[in-house]
Amino acid sequence: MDDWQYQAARDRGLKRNEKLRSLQRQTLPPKARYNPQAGGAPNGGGNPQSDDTAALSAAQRGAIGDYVRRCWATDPGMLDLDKMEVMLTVTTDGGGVVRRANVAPEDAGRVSGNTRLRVFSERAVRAVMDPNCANLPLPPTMLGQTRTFTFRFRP
Amino acid sequence: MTGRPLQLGRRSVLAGSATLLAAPIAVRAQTLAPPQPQQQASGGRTAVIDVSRARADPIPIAIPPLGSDQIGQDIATVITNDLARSGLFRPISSQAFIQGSAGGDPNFQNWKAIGAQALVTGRAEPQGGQIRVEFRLWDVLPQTQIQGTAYTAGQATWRRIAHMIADVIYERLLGEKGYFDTRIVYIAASGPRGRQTKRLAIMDQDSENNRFLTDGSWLVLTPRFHPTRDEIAFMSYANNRPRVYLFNLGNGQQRLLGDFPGMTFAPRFAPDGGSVVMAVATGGGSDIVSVDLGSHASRRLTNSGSIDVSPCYSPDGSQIVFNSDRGGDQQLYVMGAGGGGGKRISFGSGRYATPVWSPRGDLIAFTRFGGESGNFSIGVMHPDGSGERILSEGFSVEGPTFAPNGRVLMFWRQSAARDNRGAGFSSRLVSVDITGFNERVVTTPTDASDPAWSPLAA
Repeated sequence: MDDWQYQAARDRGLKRNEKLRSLQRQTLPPKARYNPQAGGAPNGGGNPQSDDTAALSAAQRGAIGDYVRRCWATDPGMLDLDKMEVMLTVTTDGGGVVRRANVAPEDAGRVSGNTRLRVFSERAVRAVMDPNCANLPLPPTMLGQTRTFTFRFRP
Repeated sequence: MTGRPLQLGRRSVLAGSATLLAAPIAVRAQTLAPPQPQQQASGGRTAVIDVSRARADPIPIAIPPLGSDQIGQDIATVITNDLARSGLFRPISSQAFIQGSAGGDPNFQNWKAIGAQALVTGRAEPQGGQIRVEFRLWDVLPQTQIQGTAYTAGQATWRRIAHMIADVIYERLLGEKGYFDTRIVYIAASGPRGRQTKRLAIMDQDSENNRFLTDGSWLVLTPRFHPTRDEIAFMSYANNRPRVYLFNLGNGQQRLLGDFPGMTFAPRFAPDGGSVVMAVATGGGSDIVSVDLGSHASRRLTNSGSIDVSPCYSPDGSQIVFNSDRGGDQQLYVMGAGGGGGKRISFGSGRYATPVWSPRGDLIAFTRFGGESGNFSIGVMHPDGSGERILSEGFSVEGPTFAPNGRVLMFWRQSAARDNRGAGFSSRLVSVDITGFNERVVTTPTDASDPAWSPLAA
């Protein structure tokens, strides 16, 4: 078989597979999740504003906040400190340990244009990634897989 | 030397626009949306994990030697001491280090294990009569480099390079300019109490490179730095006529500022350096006068018939704070830079003096005496007189001066003598953070008073 014949046969096969896939009925809920790093809706659907934080009770959120507070420090003499507030998107591994923390997409623009707020958010990232506070007290039912939470840091 | 990296860019401009555009949308959403049973978090989220009530802990930072040469060790020591003295950093002891500074990316686990949140690496290499110092600042927990700068200069300036690196680290991690590459001018006093010789002296902010500028023949007081030139204004009793002089630090020359029949004192430069504002004795009182440094033309700013002294400009040059007894007691007043009027801003118990406006513009520092305790105190208040806080108290504390970033105050503290011969008396410079923490004695070779902090070196 010549190269061009091989190429044409392969394209026909791919198109046939694609057609069969589109005709297949969906029997399971979508597994893809909102990816905050990408900043947009995933191909599997889902609510861009949702993450695992909503699955926590108020008491559980309070307990996690208290746990991280032990490592949360700011410079009390910073100008306009009382006006500072930043949201972080925090990703934990299956053991509930923080592996990644970034400024939440809705705050990213605000932070990049404000030196003091950027410093404030960097200290928030250090707090949640501090080895003494990174092992979050998640409910056992939430362990075993990667989770994403939203934290709001205030002075 | 290489310049510091530019902080502002296209992204920051775009971010500012985004904030402006978002505002009306937020208002509309608030109008149309029904009341939420649950507190709505910012960004439209209904559930967030709140972390607040932050502590005031210093940032743990590791500063290993910059290379194997002695000078690399010395530079690291100066940086360490600068940052530690600020009270906002906690340099980790080198005895805890698992690894020394090395080229390439650091092994973050080794620095994380000893509790470091920031790490400085780099090297200092002597090259002939020059020295090249390069350093990198790392954020240990996210494992990212957040600053990298190199300096090349004469070897003799290695201490200055170290201060500049400390300034860069301070600014990058705290968001405000550092103040380590600065100097302090002050009055050095030596000899028995009551017959002390007072000389104009200058030193680096870390007490190094102290030198005396005058020989002590005449009493000198209240030195102040020029905001842009290497020049100092001060009061001297030369030829037994107390008047304000200018001292050129480059060539050591002194010249009289203005020619007034009465005593002139308490000088302070305007923020643009083009004029000096000071007090001039008039009969039984004193007025505030501005003198143009180019033409030497003077302009009277107050004429209240009372004692108006200690003027100081706001950082934008639009206002002047001073103290006056026009209301019967010595209090602080603020007036426009053109003079006239004056609005009282101090209302606490006791009398207020030596006001100085913060370079950030957010605070006015002052000396207060009398009041409930009967002691002297150093305090700060907002320019409208609100939020008064006392930072330090003592038998005698006075004469505050701000670091150029407005973050630290320096003043002088005198202790009471135990007998008539002055045993136990001392006069020391003291620094304190504007939050009231981290009060430290500043080392000087003799008794010291009247400190004035230089602006950031150009």
